[in-house]
Amino acid sequence: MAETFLLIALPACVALVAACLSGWVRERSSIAGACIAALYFTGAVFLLAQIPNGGNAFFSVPWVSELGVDFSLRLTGFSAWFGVLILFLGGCVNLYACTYFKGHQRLSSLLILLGLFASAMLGVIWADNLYLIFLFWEATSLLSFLLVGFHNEKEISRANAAQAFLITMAGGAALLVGFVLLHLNLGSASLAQILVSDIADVSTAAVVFIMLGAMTKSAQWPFHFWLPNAMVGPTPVSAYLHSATMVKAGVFLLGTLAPLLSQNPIWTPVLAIAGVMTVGTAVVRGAYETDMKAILASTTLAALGFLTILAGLGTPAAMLGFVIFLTAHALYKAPLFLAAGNIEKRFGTRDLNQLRGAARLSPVTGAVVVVSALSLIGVAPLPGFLGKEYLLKAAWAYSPWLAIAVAISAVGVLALGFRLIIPMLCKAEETGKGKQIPLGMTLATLFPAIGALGMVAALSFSNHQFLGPAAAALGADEGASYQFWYGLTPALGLGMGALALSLLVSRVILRSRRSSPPDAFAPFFDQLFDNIIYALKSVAATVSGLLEEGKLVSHLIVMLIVIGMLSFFSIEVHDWPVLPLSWDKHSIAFLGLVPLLVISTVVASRTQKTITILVSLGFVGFVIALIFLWFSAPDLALTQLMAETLILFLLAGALMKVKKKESSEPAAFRLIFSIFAGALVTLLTLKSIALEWNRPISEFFLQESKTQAFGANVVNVILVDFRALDTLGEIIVLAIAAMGADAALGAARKRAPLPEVMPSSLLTSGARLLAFFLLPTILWIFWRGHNAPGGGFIGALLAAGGVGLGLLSSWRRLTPPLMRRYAHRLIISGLGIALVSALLAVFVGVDFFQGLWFHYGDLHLGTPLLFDLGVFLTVLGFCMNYLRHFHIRQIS
Amino acid sequence: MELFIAITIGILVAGGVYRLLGGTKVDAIIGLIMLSQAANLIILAAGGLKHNAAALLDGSPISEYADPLPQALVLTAIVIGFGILAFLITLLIRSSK
Amino acid sequence: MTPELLIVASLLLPAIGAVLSLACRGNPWPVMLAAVVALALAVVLTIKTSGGEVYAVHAGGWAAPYGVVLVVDGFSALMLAVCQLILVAAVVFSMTTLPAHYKRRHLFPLLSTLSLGASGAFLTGDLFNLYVWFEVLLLSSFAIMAIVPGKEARAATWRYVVINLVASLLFLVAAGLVYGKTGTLNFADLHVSFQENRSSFLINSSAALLFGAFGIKAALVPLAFWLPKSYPQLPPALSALFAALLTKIGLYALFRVFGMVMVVDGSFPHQEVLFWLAILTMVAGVLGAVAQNDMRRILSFHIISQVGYMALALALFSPLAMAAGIFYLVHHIVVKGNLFLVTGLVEQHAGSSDLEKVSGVVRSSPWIAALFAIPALSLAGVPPLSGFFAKFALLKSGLEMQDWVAASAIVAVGLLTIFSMLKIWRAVFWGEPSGERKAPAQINLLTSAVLGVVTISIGIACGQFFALAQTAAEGLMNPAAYIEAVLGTSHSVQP
Repeated sequence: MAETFLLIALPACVALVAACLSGWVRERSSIAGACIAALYFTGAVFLLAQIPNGGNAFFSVPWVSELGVDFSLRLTGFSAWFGVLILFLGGCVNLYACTYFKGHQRLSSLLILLGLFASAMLGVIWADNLYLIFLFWEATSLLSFLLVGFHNEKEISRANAAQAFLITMAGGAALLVGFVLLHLNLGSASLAQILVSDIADVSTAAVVFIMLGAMTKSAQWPFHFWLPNAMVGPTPVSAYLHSATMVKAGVFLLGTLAPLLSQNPIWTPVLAIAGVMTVGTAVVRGAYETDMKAILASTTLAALGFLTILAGLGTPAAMLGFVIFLTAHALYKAPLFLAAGNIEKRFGTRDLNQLRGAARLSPVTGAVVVVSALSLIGVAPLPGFLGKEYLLKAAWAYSPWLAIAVAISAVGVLALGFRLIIPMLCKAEETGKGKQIPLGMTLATLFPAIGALGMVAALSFSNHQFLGPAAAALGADEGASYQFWYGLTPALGLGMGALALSLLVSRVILRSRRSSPPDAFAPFFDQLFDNIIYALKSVAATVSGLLEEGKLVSHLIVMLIVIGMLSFFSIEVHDWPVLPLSWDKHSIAFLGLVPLLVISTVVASRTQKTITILVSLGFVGFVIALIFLWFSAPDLALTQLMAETLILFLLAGALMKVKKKESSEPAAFRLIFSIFAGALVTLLTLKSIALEWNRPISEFFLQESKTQAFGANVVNVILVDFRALDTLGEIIVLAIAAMGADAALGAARKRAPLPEVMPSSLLTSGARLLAFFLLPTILWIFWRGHNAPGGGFIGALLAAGGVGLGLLSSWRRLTPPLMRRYAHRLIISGLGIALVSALLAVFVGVDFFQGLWFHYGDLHLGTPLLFDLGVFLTVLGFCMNYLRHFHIRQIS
Repeated sequence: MELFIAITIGILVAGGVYRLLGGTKVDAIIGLIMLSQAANLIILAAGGLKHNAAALLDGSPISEYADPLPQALVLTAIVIGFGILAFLITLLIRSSK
Repeated sequence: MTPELLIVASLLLPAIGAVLSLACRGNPWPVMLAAVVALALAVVLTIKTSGGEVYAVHAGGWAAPYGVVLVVDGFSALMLAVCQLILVAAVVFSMTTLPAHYKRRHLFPLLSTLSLGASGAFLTGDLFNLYVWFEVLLLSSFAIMAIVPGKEARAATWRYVVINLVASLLFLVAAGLVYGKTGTLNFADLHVSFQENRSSFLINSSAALLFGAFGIKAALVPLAFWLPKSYPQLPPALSALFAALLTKIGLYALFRVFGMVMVVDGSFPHQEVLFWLAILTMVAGVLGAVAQNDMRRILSFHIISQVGYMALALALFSPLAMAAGIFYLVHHIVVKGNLFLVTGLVEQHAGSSDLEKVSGVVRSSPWIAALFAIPALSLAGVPPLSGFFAKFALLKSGLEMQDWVAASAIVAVGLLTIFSMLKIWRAVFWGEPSGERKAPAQINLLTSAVLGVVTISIGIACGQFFALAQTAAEGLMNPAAYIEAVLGTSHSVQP
């Protein structure tokens, strides 16, 4: 039934409520914990009731169909059973956490994280779409990072949480690649469909990446090292992470995909080897530990190794073992961890050497530890026994050698189990300190242990069929059952042998009192990880320096080289068109300009003296204006002259203020580099000149300028009509530049002292006279622009010249604040007029910027002229603003 | 003639790049002034060069006139360059404060 | 309103906002109002173009290719919408976090002209007009940078300005050369003209210059030297806007000009070069981020690496990759803008964004932590946030084309991004709170939360958003509708 899937939201909703009631939760922690646990347990029971129906349900909503992402969920017998475990243990852990962190400031944040985490975990096991699995998968990584780093005021917590996060995220990335490949291979991202596909279509790359993803999540060798480090998390978190969630996600995925992917030849060997290596590493690591939690972490690693081996085999028998082993492990590992927390609370330590007789002093917790550890060791009739036996059985069926290897590695694990309980069962040595274990914690520890016993009972009463459907859903044979006794088999013999041997080994472990693993072995991977991070950081520092540090010039050189090479190699010299080297009598006159330009350029590029700079640059600009004039561009020539003059004026003002610095770069290199640049540009220009294209657009302009736009000066008509939008942008640029001057230099509101230029009466009266003539000239130039060289821009520059003259002649009324006000108003009104002229057409109902004309005989008045007026005003405002700033500079 | 204008542009670019790479702020400004002038010339040249054929309509056949569009582009470019260079010079002044 | 009117309004609103604000002594409200209205218009345009429609306005009433044409298609409408969204957020933050010094120096009119340049660049269908809007945008950004006080800021501004001016010159020359070679500047007309002359790829050398110009603006390594020094100097309210607009417009231009105009026979000039530079950009950018120790700096380097992702999408140039690229652009603008804004919140809250000076923000202000987590996880590509789908679609297109270099770069750089985000989280958000803490302005929290909600909704409603991106990509790769809208039916070419 699809409603079952609402259970995914249950933990998250509980968490949200806890977040809203954080104050209450803090004060009434135990009640809150009991409520949460009750909700979880209800969910678990509801889910449990679904299993006899086969538990099959499917739900799907399209999400990003283009990418194959759907929100589709699928419930099977196994995933329903796994869900029961998650909810049941989740309830216990929440109850435990509420009493463990009773009244703690951040209890509610812990509960939120735990709730979200449970939801995410349910999502992982119930998702059908591969990418949805990935979504929840990443969520578990992220949330476990936050959970492990709960005590983030400690550096060790932060570091270990980060390590776990990085490794699981790296695995997640690999998993995503694997999923995409699988999707591309099979054409479907739905698990249900994938599982019935043909293995021949699946590429080995997909299999490899999926294995990598699952192995990192489940802490398989060589990625195992993060798991023991993740012990820094609070006890309930460790209990949850290690029993039913997080690390189980990886083996869950392996188990789910095993029926299909185990047919790929690399699946079984890789996973079997990784599994055995993980168990071996875990045992060696655990043998040196005395911290109870650390030993438990080692046994978790080992259990994951066994599960990986089972998933690696992928046979029906292996899947049968997989389900029971996973269940048994969840049900003994959670109480063991929680008990470790109890013991720490009670005795103030987790060091087994100091916990002699703890079981006797704290009987309930002690009983839980003993029962659970016996399950770990695999003593019949506890669930762990079944797990061990079916593991060995499946391994034996695959290859006796594998079974022997598994049995040998199991010896160590079982020995670790004995290591846990033997000291606790010794005669008590009352340590005296420590507090009573709160009831909530005791109960939370007790529940899963009772659950384990209950499961045994359920198996017995259901005629051993209890978990059969769950296993069948995963690929075990239909109607499979779990028998405590199936006769004398090699597996049973191996199990018994391992048990016996492990008792001996545990004596050895107990006797050696070394408390830390030898440096040469255990921290190897930790070191490796740190070294990789270190190397990464030093490479990063170098790259960062290259991008950030360094002189502007060297950066410019790199950029120019890249672009220059790119354009040089695309000139396509082999495809060189014939150069039209036209030559006529005018050319000789033009040739006269060239040496002038060359000389002034060379001077301008080398000189350091202010006056030479100005003169040579002025000369360059002047010659270019002449070239413009020569090549039939009178408007350009005028504009160039005016603009150049003003720029040189500003530059002169600046150069007088700036402290001189010599060019510091090596001249020879610059010379060669710049010659290359010049040659490249020459080539580019030549090539583009050489191409002959017809120009329909210009022909249109030349044809229609007079008839439709009523102007004979086509360049001006283009500017104010055909391409007026460019010009609008252009005057906005000027307005921004004017604002930019204020932005860089400050608005200079205060009244600067008036210039102390010699108050030459001749200059003053001359200027007035000039202004008298200037005004009509400006108007005339502005007016004729549409039909002859001139127009708003040139007129405005001329007017600006007049203002400049006024300043020089100490025109007393032109104070800086006044100039500022004028400039401001001119720019605003200029832009406003330009915008209005553009928009008038819209109000009339034609395209914007379309000219609206009023004809009176030969007189044509229209919005383009209005626009030109806007240009005039803006440019004048711009110039006044700059004159003002530089005027102030001159005086101050 | 095209060859000469191309070489002229090349020299202007070489001068501009040489100056741009000088290392000081004044160098950069002068270099950029020269380079933007070169850019304007390139646009004009790429659009085709004609002597004594200004696009001031006086009834001649339209094939007689120089292409006005590159001229308009250059004019816009000159003005934009003018605004930007003026701003650049204020930055130079600011850094000397 | 007709779509044509909407186009004109979208372009001119920022201009009007700027003029009014300037007239009211730099008052922020006209800018804000214009941005809000423009945002609404852009959303309407996005809806109107969601079926692949293209609308064109012929400025001055001159038919294309003679006049300048403004065009809106799915791609430009989406870009307009997200940019206006970030502008609104940036204006809010500027009003509340920046000292009066900024307002006196015309910050708000300049913000409006910045957005004007962006809108113009998105809307124009003409190469030279694009240059003009680029200049509007750039000069606004120069002027805004010039407001920032301090010696280091001055040096950074200078570097930024000079490098970008070189880029502008390259663009200018390229535009001139393109006109010289083809006789037209109109995008649609250029595309048609390239199709007709496909035998000789004459455009390659001008394309190289354009590539350089756009590459510098988009901050492709090794053309990105201007970025890491300049962005961290800006206050976060402004760097949010810069991060959202400037490099993205370079990318937009790359997508528009290389991904549409210059495409002949399913490829464009310098595609191979773009591919390798994109990979280099991704890797170098994220390594830069890994090495940094300040939120502002880390985020600035992330821009570079993310630009690499988007450029990679263009270089792969499959329908899925292009859709991924456009989706990436949209998502990234929101997320990156928000990350800078959250940096602003952290600075308001704890007084610094230096990883070594701030710690424990998650305890002193869990809201800021949550607001950081959303865009940070999205940028890192954690599902179901927008960034995941962007990276995932790109990864899928890379694997589809069996491009293992691209796929491994996508995955590896994604991991390093997580690594550097983790670094911020560990240092700034975890640990014991130290020093004095101030509550940031409510309105700022709200603004950042709105952007966070947008990020989440792009993820949740990814089906719809990705469909938009696909339509936009389709419009670029097969511009028949674009050409028809601009030039009329007679010109449409058979693909």
